[in-house]
Amino acid sequence: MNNNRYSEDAYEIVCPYCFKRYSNYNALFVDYRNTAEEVYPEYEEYLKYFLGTEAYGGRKMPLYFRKRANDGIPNVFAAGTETDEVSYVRACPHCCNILPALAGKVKTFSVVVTGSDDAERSFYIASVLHRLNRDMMSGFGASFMPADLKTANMFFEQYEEPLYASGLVPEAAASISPLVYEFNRIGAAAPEEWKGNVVTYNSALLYIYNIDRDLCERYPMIAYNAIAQANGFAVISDLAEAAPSDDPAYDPWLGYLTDTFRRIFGSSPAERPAALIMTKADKVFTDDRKWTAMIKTDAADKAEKLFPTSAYRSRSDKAEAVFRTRIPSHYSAYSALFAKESSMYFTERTLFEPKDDGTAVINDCKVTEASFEWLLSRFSVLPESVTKSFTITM
Amino acid sequence: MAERRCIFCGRLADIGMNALFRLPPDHRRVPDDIYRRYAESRGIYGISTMMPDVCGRSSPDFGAMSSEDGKPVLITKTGRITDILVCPSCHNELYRDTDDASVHTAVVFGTAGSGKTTLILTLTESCVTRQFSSDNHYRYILNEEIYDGHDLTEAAHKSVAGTAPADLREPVAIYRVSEASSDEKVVCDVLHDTSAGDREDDYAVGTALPFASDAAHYVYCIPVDMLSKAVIFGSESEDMLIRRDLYAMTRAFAYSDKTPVLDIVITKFDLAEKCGGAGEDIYNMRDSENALKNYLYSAYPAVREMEPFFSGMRLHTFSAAAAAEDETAVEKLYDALFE
Repeated sequence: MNNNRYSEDAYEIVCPYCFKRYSNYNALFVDYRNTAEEVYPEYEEYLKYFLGTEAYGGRKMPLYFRKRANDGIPNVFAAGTETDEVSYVRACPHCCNILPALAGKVKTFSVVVTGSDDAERSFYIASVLHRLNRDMMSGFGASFMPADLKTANMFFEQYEEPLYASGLVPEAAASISPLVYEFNRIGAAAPEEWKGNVVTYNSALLYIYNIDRDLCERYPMIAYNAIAQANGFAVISDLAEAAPSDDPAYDPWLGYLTDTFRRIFGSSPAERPAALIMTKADKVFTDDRKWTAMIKTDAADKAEKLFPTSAYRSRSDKAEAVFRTRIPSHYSAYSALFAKESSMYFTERTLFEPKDDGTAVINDCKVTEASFEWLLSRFSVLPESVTKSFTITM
Repeated sequence: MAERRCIFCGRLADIGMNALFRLPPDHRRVPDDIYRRYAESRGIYGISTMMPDVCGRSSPDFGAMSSEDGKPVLITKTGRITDILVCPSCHNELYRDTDDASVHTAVVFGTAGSGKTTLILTLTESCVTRQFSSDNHYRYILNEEIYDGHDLTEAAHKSVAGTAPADLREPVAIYRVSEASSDEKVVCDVLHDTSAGDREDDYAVGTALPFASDAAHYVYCIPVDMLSKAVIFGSESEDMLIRRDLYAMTRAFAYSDKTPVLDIVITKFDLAEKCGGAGEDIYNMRDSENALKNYLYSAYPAVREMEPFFSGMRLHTFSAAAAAEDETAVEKLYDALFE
């Protein structure tokens, strides 16, 4: 619980890169001010493998050390270096990647965002994090910020800058390097009641993985581990792709998703929170009047006020009823993979319309944030019945 | 234990029993190739001159250590005498007399082309080469081998013309003495330049900007032409850029117990009236810090959100081109930063 924040035994460290879980006493420390004397090519290869980036060219290897028993620093979150400085930078003893500063101090959650190839996965991440980063403070009195500089830079360069500065569709930026965010309700010492709802965690560390089919093929061990360790899923499907034909071969993603989840979780459905997001919902079932009304913006606005439990559950049920008859293969696959009690359908209009010149017209969409907030509320980070809604305005 | 803070790596260096000294250049015990390898390990490639040797209590050349006028002096076995103290970590000379880095260090951040290097060079040139007229404090620049009197002026003028070096890899340190007639060193002000590549991740910040964790002033440069268009066009992209920059700055002191002051400098201020947008309004607000601050908040909500992470925020305006005519503005900025 939150009272135990920063205590040594309350939480364990979860490495965002190799998914190992271990106690705070086992972490390695990094000599923050010194590097190794040489550049090691093997280290470059290693970083490339684990972080999937080549931006580290010519980087010298950090110097790792274990905390000594008599270094005069009482807590396990800092250690004295050989040159009598204090290092707060910790690394994973298994993969030697630098850990986020809050690792092991607060509860850690991880979310896997996955979806078919053109299901606007990167747009989802970009819009959700961009808006939560700004509006979480006014909406919930909490900060939602990158937990390290690498995440801040990666999010800016790969997601935020292309979409919001250049008006471009973010490239498929599936990466084994997660986006690490920290959630912090400032000034709250104990688990507090938030408008009558108990919130278990006033601060949390959130790893967000953007995983696609290509990544699963290139780094199966890491992608499968990320899925296996995830506390929640945001599965984004392209409804326009799925709806015209009910043939599973038409949407190869579905078969692939089933195969992946079956390998990891076996034949039983994963009983973890899963936001099943169906994009491009305005392009399908146009003959269905109720469906069209549900998708309309004004209807979405009304539903927004009662976010998320009652209104979204009823909306989700309506969508489910339509899917059951219209796209039964998708429906059966999803219901077999995700337990009904812990999953919710979020139907969303087309998030953006790409133009020929590479830019995109971005629609005003609201449900995307709601789905992510719903996941956070299932982790007991946000309260269950939240009336706040966000809008994307460009 | 007497300690000094190294202005290059930010570490505290012992100047008592474990002090390290620089030997005269003719005293060369270590072969050149070892020096070269040492330099390359520190990220210095293609050096033409070798670093001079250093000597401390554990060195084989160590003879005796004594004290002259309170200053430690080392005598080698061969009888050479030296009193130049160096940092045991980075082997640079220890310029500061105290361990106090908290008041007199400013690190200049900003987007590319926002005038970071120009700001540093103009500040230095104005206060060193020409001397401020209103006070009797004598100032002189420390690393004269890089910026001696002549080159400094030239560099400052080049910088205003836009042909300055991309960034200054060496910190600029300025000594202030109490009276013009005295040569007693009182204060050593240090200005550090940065570039965007220093802020790749938390670990890169620790190794590339080690001095930043103890600095008292984080200067952030915003060019006036960018600011003048921000409210009118409501550009979210620039707000994101500033948010990312300010966030990166907070990471530089995240692992220390210091919380610096954020000094936002609106650079290229002489262009305010010409650059369009709300430039004229900004120019009219030049004397009111509160009005400018409110404008900045409305232009970039990121500034308001990131402000609590610093121990305070101050706003300044700066124009390198107008510095030649109006010395008082530069002096005011210098005083605001360091005094």
